[in-house]
Amino acid sequence: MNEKAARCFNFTKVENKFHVKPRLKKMISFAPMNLAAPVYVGRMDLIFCMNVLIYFTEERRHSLVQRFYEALEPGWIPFSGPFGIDFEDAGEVSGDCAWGLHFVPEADGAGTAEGRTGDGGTRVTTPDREAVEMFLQEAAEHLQYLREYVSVLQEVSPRREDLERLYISAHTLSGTSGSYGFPRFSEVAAKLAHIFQYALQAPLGDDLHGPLTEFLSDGISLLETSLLEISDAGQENVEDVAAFKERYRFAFPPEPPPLNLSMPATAPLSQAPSDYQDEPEPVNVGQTGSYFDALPVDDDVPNEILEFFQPEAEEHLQIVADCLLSLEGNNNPEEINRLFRAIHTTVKGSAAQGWFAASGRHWRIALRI
Amino acid sequence: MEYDSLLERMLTQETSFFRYPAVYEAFEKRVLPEIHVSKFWKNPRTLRVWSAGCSTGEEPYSIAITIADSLSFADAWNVEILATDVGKLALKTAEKGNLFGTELV
Repeated sequence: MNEKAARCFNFTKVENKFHVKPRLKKMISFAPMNLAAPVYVGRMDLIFCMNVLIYFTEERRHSLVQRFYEALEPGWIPFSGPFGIDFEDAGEVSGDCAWGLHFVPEADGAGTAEGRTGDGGTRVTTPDREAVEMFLQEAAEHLQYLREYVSVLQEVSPRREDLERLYISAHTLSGTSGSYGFPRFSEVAAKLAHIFQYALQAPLGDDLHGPLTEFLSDGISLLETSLLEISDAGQENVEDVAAFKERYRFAFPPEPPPLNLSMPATAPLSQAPSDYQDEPEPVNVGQTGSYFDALPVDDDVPNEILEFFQPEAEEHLQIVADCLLSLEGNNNPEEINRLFRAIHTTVKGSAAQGWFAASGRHWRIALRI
Repeated sequence: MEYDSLLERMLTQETSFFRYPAVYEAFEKRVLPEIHVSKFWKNPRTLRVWSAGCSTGEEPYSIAITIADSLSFADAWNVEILATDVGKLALKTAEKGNLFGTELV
């Protein structure tokens, strides 16, 4: 037995037994399943299937491999082990086989990424100058903070508080810029926040450090020039952001292209159940190509949704009121934190669902007291 | 049940830790690093693996230790390994995850 296998276990002398480490056990869920009968397993990144297919008839084998393929993340292609299987002739597998499946991103998917962000620099809203001023001032402070402290990521064990503050700064930048109508600024800031959030959970490996350090530094520079541009012209610099995204493609992965699977011709499309026709039309994204164009107006919210939203919002508002009152007396950071959370949750929740976009903005302004 | 035990016996349950080392080698050296890079920007960061025909559990445990060992970032991931097998007895053994001292050395 090799030593790698031994690492799976803790040994207890009393019982003379090896127990699998709980950490590994936690990762695994066991379930009885007959592979000959189709069962839904959800999306998989990787499938191991060793020494199984040989027990199957050719027909079964083929349909099983087909199911494996469908379970894998779309846009990825299979990786095979020592006894490679081509999906095309999966039916011809014979003998012992051992293989894993692995996805590889399609080399080119640039077209889809473009469609997502929409074209042109049309501004989503026309926020009044005063509000933009507030955004600019706050954003400048956050950016300065990022610039000064981003180097803590390089330290061997960065302090958690520093990482948290970096994350909050980047996250806030992303949120506020988005709600003021600067989606590109917001997207880049969100990527920075993503890195800090990751670093909060696990140390960044050496393989990531190099490209990420550069990415962060360039990203902050880009946001700085973008902010100047917004301040001068009231608009984002579209080209700079596009060039940045082009340069750091790894951070802006294209949406995987639709899976082009050659299904065994069983049921022609025309026989699809009629249910499908009742499915809602895809949301019509308006002329600016912005997400906000698809938002319903404030009054246009279904009652059953209001039912959930209202009590929660009321509760948050109550907290906001309480905190504001107590803040008048003393400047307790804990209260400010509570205030932030209460506002943030409601604002983010409501805005994300597409309701009360306007009220979301008001509350953000309130946050700046 | 009769049928189950018959099935159990019919299926050769020969298995071991890190059977087919080449597969695990490729998994560790090629596949996992690539997943790391490509999924880094995903949120939530989930890695789902299916061990189809896991027998007495050697395969899923080998997969789990490979992931836990070679992903320096394992804590930042949601690792879900689904291990399935038709033999219920084998599954029970797998779920227990115990081995007697002599079996491993």
